[in-house]
Amino acid sequence: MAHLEVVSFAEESGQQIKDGHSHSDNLTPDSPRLLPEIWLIVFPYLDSSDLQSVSLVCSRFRYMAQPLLFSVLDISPFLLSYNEMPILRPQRYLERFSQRLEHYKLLHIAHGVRHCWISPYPRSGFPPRSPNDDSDPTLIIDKAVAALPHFPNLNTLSWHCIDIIPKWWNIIQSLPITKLWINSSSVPTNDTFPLRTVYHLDLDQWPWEGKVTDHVSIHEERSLGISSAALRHITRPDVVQSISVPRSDTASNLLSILADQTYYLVSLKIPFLSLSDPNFAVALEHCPHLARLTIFPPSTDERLRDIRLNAFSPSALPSLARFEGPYTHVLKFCHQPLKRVSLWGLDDRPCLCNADALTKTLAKLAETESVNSLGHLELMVMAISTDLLDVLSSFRQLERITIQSQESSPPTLYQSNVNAPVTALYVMMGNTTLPPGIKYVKLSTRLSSRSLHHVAQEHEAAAFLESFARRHPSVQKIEIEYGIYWTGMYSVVWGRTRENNADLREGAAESPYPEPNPTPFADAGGGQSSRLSSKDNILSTVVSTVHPLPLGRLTFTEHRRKIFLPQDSTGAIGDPANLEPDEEGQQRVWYLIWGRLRRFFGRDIG
Amino acid sequence: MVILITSDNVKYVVEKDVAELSVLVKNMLEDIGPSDEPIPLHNVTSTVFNKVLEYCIYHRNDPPPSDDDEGCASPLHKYLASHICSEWDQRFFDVDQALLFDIILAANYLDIKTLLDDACKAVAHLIQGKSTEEIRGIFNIVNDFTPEEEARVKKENVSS
Repeated sequence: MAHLEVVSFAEESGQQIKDGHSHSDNLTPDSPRLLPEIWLIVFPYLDSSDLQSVSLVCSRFRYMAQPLLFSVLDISPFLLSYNEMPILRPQRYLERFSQRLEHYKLLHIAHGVRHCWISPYPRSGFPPRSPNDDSDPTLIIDKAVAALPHFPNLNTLSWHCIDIIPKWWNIIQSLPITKLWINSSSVPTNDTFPLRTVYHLDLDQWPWEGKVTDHVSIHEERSLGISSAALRHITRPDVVQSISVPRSDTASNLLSILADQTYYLVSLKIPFLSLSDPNFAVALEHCPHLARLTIFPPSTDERLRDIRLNAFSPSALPSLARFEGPYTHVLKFCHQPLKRVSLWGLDDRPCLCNADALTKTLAKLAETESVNSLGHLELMVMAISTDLLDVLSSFRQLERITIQSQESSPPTLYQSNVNAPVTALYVMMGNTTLPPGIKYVKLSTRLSSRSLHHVAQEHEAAAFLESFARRHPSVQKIEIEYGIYWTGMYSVVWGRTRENNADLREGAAESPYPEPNPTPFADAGGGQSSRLSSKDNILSTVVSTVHPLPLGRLTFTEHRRKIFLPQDSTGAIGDPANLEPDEEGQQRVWYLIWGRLRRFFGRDIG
Repeated sequence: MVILITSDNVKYVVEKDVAELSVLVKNMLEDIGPSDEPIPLHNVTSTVFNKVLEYCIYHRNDPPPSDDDEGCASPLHKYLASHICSEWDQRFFDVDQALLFDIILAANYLDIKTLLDDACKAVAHLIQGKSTEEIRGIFNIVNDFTPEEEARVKKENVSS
């Protein structure tokens, strides 16, 4: 063997192999070196204007990019439908649409069409109005629906606010549609076949940039929602797997059909008001395969606190593993061991839980079977408290914890240390022991440390994270975000690179730890990258640094925002001199923290 | 520890959890059972493998992608999280194009899906905002369209 080198990457990957080969000179000219299947992974990351450019590069690229460009057939036969007087498209829209459709039907494009979206509002927003509109929208829909069988891979249909006539329905029901998003349309149920292939159903959602949201569509707020008869016609009890419906009248219709017979639903998402629906309990009892139940938080005008849940059989929902909803009701849904729980509350806006009340609920949850099954917990709280952290240790299987906290009513603990409130969080966490199998912790808080220099904040975080990781040998990643959006957000991400039992001292002798210099992330200019948002006169400065620590790697990111007025002097625009401390000071403080960590670990091992 | 040998005979000793980010290596390890036998990586040179390892070591602790992101995270938190990620990745993928393509081929061969996706994102990033002529220049591609064909593609694209 000509040259054999052994390199251990168990350490930090600081070492590089000396290698004489240069790779820049073997690029074959005149041909893209990547295989078509690689380009097919690249192109979906491009937006339509880039795909247009790509399709004109060469014929190979054309046949790969054009089907992506035409993946959605987007038809907007109406203008704003909720106006008093519906304003229709001009006559020429039909002609233009017919020509457009011919391009979708081309052999090299048709196979790429996967989604048909018929709606009063196009994916990109509201269409401009024209006073000369005079055409019948049904002519446009006729054309579109008649073309659908040309698209062999069409599987998604979004149909908004247009009543479906039998002629259209007969074509639609012959297509292998698996995902249907329908908003307040009527469906012909007499003498027509039901849909047989829909496994994912979205009902009455608000569209945003071509995607479903969890919010009720307001375009159809004056219509009646989707009727029970229509729902029966689009859902096959043994095929449909997931249904999402944020609108409460449609949800009520849905619950009435679920209450009739057994459904093979796996996931159901319904609004908060549905909890008091007379059919709620019996509907869920008819979904024995339901693994995931999501209850959407109420919108601001329906924040009713006293939703009563009807009697619920303990044997109902034998498959439920995941609950997302109000903490006040979670105990009703834990007759079987839950694996993943996300809780919100109505104690404060937006949808936050009071920490004391939540702690009591979690303590009761820990008395159920879920104590041995819960692996993933997400909480939205007003403030993180010691009791709350303590109760988490009851769940022995817990691997992932995410807590989002607003600190809207800070407990006295924080007030005692107002200068560096995030320190209070570290102190609190330092006295807490999380479950033994914990792998991932993420905390978001509005606590801040503005009075502390960011280098000092990094030291604080480093000291806390290493000692926390030492006490929790299974923990792999910790993320802490703090601060307030407008004044600055800080993000601390720690990932384990060494096991606790690795012999740290021996490593120290060979100086395996890179010098305690922060490694700047971004540009060479001190690890800073700044971005100016010209539109809003907001200056955004992002500074990331990476520090290799004894057990892990810490990435500290500071995200600052500053609003400035055009007449401000340029000095206001984040002069780096104001942001960075003197290098020497930084080094010195790092040296100090380093000494501390070394001593800590050295003693611990000895 | 797992021993891997690249095509230019460079030997690496890699921690098992890092090595197993490659589905190819993971499957090979399962096939041969417990053994100290080095695993040859025929299609990867050490220059490329250094980069692959750097990526795998940095991302070894990433939690598995959650099946949905709606949970509790606000858009800001998502933004911050993705920003941090992309900042490191941007720097990581800031290499010459030949090496970037080699990383992609290696990720494809080693079957490391996250690296493949991220590297493809980096290629997409090279394309973003560029004109057709610029894209031809970047990837050294010859225009094989006749003027009539080019006009036809343009006309079709207007309909999308």
